[in-house]
Amino acid sequence: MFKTVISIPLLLIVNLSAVAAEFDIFQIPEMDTATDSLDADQTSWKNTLSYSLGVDDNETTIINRLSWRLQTEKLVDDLFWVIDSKLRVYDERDMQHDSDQRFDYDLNLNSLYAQYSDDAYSLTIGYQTNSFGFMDLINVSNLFTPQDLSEAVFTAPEDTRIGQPVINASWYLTNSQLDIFINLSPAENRYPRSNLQEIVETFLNSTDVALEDGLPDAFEEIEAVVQWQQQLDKHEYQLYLGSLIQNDPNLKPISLIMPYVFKLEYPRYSFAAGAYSYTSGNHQLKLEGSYKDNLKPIDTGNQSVDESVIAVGWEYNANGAYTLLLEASVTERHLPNQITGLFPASMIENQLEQTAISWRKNFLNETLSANFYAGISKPGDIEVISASVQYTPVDDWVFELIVTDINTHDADALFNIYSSHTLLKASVYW
Amino acid sequence: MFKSLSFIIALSLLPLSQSMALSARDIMQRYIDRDDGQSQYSTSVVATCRYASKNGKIKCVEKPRIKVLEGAQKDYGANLKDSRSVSIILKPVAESGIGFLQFDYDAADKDSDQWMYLSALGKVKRLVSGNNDEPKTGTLFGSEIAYEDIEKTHIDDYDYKLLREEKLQDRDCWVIESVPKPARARKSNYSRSVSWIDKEHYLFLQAQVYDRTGRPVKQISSSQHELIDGIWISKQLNVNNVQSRRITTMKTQKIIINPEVQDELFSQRTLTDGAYRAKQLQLLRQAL
Repeated sequence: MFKTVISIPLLLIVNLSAVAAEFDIFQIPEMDTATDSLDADQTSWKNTLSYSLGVDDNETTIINRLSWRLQTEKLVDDLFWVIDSKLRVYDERDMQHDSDQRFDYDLNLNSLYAQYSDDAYSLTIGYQTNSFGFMDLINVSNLFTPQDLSEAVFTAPEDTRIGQPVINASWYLTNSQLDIFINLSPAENRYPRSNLQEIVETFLNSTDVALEDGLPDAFEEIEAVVQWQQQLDKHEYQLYLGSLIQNDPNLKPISLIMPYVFKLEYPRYSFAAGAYSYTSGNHQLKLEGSYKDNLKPIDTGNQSVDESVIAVGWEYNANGAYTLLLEASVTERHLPNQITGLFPASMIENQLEQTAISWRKNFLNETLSANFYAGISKPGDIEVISASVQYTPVDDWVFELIVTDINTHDADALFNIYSSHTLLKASVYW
Repeated sequence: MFKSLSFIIALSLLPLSQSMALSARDIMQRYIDRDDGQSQYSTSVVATCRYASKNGKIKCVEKPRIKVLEGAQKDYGANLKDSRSVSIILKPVAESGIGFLQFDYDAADKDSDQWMYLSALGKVKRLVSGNNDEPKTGTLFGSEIAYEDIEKTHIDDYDYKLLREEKLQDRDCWVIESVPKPARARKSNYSRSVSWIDKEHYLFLQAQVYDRTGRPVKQISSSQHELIDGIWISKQLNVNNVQSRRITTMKTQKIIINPEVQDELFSQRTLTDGAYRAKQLQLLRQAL
């Protein structure tokens, strides 16, 4: 009886629980959507304040910087204006610091341009960045816009491009587009250590070295590229033809007796590239290739080479569970003569292989994302493995922890510019 | 399951005498086929929060995540069953300027085409959207609106049963159960749903959705119904996940039905040509 008396209330409790698991009377909680009055037509300035702290394997601080990025875009009459600039302040411990003061800074203008669009064409004039190709991890065709490689291993690729004064004319056709790019003042890649002098001294084992800057002045040398893009159902194509200035210098010896004198030259070369992608269901296949004629990379002395790059990529989306990206490339150089010159012969190989893999998964309703990246480059056996976690506790606050391990089995690789490190980055947007 | 959660839910009017002879499948067919306009422009706010229930009232227990979107949509194809849409994120600031272009197809065997524009990169990336033959786990911007919820509904994917007729929100409704057929069930995250369809306007009012194990998972409702240019619009959609205790509301701030929209607005040009995009959207805003 006791059992019966007890069991009935328990049954009621169980049944009530079952009802509670069903749908309650539906209510809508009040939410503070302060953006209800947002006018889509109003000018919006986007500010990004970021602080980065990085330490290497020896627990030495190598990154200690604050950056403020200001972006906006606005249609004024018939012109569309875009501004994207970044101010960075470095502490004296930061590897980018290069002054006698405790704090050093630089101001970068990624974009400052006006765009006019009418009927089937548009014209864009001003400082801008332009991305070519379909590959995301390996650079095959993306040769027009130089990179700020002082941040390349510390931040997303989209933040590494350096703006150049470009005239871009576009013609829009059915499912295709033709572009012409004219760069009036080619810029160079920027490296973590701006002191190329120190790097050359290390290699020559001498401090008696003088470098002369040979970067062309504005309008002295211009770059030109023609791009054609086509989209047909699941297939996409891109073709490029261009005449470019190297983004990395070549060292032309002026005097090979002490004091050594070299001129930083940025030779002109021609290039052709093509890219293809096919997307269906969970998969995307990418093929990309480029050919450069009369290239003078720094590791070939002053010798011209032809360089071919072929790359294949595959992206897989596990129906929202995660995404996986794999890319691989082979680079072949054709050297008329083997050059030993001033640099180790091991640096001058006629084939370079690169493989990279990236994996990404979202958690907690997309407020937390985990990323893994691994890349290997041969020769030189340069391995980069990076794991990062990005968390957005509330809208417009982003925290990121990045751990990067860099191994260079060849002591001369990367000029010891990059080292393994752990980076913590916090950003706020308003 | 729902015709389109992009911005609106619409319907067509039918004489009452005709509706009384309709089967559950007929009712759902008319709901799917209702006229919602051939094109739209709108701005929307998507807000999501976790909630708790206290004294019979539910309140957010965290600051809501807010997404503000501006976009346009247009129907295409022989029977205007395919659609193309472009959306630009206005808020949060961290994601402002990101644009999406999407082509949806009525044919069940044809995957959607999606592109995303990353303004910081200045590059359009074609997205790998996933396989339509498998359940999708993603949601719209981390909200409670699952990708499955905004896919096109194909009438033959489900078996329908008229459960009863009753009033909801003072409207006479059919209560219809939809159970996915085996081929659809393999790809679906839901085992069944029960929908309340307004008899007079074929307006979706509410749905209760059950997961693959048969447990209640979502309660979806629409509100703020307005008649705009002869078409009934629901300006608010609410999705309550009773398992995770999270709720999403999608409020349409401004909307135009059947504006004149250039076909080229639904091309990659809109994503990369800021001047063109800004001009076209400005024209649409002025038509509000």
